[in-house]
Amino acid sequence: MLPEYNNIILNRDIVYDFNPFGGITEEDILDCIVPKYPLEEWIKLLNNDQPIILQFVGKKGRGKTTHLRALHQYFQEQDIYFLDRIDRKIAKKNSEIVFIDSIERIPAIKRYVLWFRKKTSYVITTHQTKTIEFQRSKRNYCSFSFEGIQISSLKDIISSRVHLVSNFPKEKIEVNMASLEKLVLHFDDDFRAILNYLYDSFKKTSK
Amino acid sequence: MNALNDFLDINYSLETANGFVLPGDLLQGKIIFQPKDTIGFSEINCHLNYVVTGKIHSKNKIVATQIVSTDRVWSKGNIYEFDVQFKIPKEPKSYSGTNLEIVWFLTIECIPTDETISRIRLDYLKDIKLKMLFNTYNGKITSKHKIQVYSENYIYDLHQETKTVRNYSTGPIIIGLAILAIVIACYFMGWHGVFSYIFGIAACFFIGYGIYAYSSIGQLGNVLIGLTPYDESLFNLDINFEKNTKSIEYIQVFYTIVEEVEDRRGTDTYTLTKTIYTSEKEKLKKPISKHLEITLQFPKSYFPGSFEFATEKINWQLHLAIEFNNNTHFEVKESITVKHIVS
Repeated sequence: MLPEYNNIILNRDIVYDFNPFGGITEEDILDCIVPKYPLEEWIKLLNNDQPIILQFVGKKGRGKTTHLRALHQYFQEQDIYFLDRIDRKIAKKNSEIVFIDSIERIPAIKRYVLWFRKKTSYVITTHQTKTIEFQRSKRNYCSFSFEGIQISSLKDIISSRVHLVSNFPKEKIEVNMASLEKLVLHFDDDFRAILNYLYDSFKKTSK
Repeated sequence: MNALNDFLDINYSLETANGFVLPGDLLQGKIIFQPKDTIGFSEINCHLNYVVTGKIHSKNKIVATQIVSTDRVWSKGNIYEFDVQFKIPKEPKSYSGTNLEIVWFLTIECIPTDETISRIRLDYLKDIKLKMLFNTYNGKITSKHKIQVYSENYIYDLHQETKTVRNYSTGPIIIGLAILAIVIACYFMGWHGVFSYIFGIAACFFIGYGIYAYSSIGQLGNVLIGLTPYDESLFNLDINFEKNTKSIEYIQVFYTIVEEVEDRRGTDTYTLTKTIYTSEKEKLKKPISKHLEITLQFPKSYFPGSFEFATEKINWQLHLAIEFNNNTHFEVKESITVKHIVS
């Protein structure tokens, strides 16, 4: 039996502007993210003179896209592409850094065309590593795996989201850790599934 | 204090009717600032914005911006008041649904001077980890105040329009026959692979579906749908069939209001839908005329108007469910546009 929202956030005096567990706007993403890796390290790598490819690897719902969007906030003038079934085009521009979500949407041959643009750095998300492609293209790359979950990170994420939509002081938000453990036991490290569950549970509770 | 927001108290005193602002009305009030330290600002803006926040995505839309103040230094302990005034648009209104919400805000955005930023960083934030600085210290002080844009005195406003539902029932037959011809040609050329069977089955499926469609909805030809408002609570629906209606056993007409949120993340694309209203169903048995007139009623309570923003949508959808004499069934769905007028 999964815990209801009331048993996860124990404060009863929080006034919410809206459901804390939906999508996050670009403006708010840095206030919500609990970085799995230090963003500063990535920023340094991308600001280096040597172009590089950063790949975020992991199954769906593990936070790859959220980290990509958050990192892009520091490079807002650079292009970002969210590839899906409809939109799979990368414009031929002279961007120094290109952010691409779901790189596997592009056929391999077109990916090589990208990697051969040696002056361009890329930050990509992918379900399966593209290391062989980078090696064949003789590109510098760093790979970051998105798997596993820490209860303390989950608590931070939930508190940040509640604070964002309520202005309730973050340090006063009481989170039931035993409930979080139950969620992790059920959903494993699938953040998206946990947030979807919390979204529905919050909706049910607030009615 | 570990975030820039902690250096300034911001309060709102707005003229609202029981907390609500009427769509199309003027929102007026005061913003009251109380600095907890001496702070210099290069610019202070007030935005009227709404956030469409769904289970999947959230998007912010700034509707109007008022510059509250520029190049000011505020002293600790003083109170600074500024008037703001915004014309609220008629749409969209505040809405809280199952898969999406529309939330209106007044958002204050204060941009401190470089001198203030470096002083605050030096005096207060030096002990905070770099990660925290990135998270909380983006160089701006922001504050949001939720406002409810809604009126209890509204009438539904139907966009008068005509739609033609084209009948493509012969399309699948043609596609099926074309595939079948290719498969047969390949067969005689010696290609007997497993794919020939798969394509052969697919061709039969297309032809079968085409015959099924042609024997029912294909008999009707194109369908012309006309929508006209009748009065505050009713609207008219004119249905014109191009060919004859003899094959129809009965028609059921109704409409639904559906929340649609599309998720295109990652490798799967799917749409979350939630029907929030279904109208009463009007049933017509064995219609003789090619021209039908039906009157439908708007919902008796408040439901949001048609709305679309990024991948979030509130869709009013007209349904024409047709049962044919040969026990086949077809349902035509067409989006219609309905807004509100504040009376």
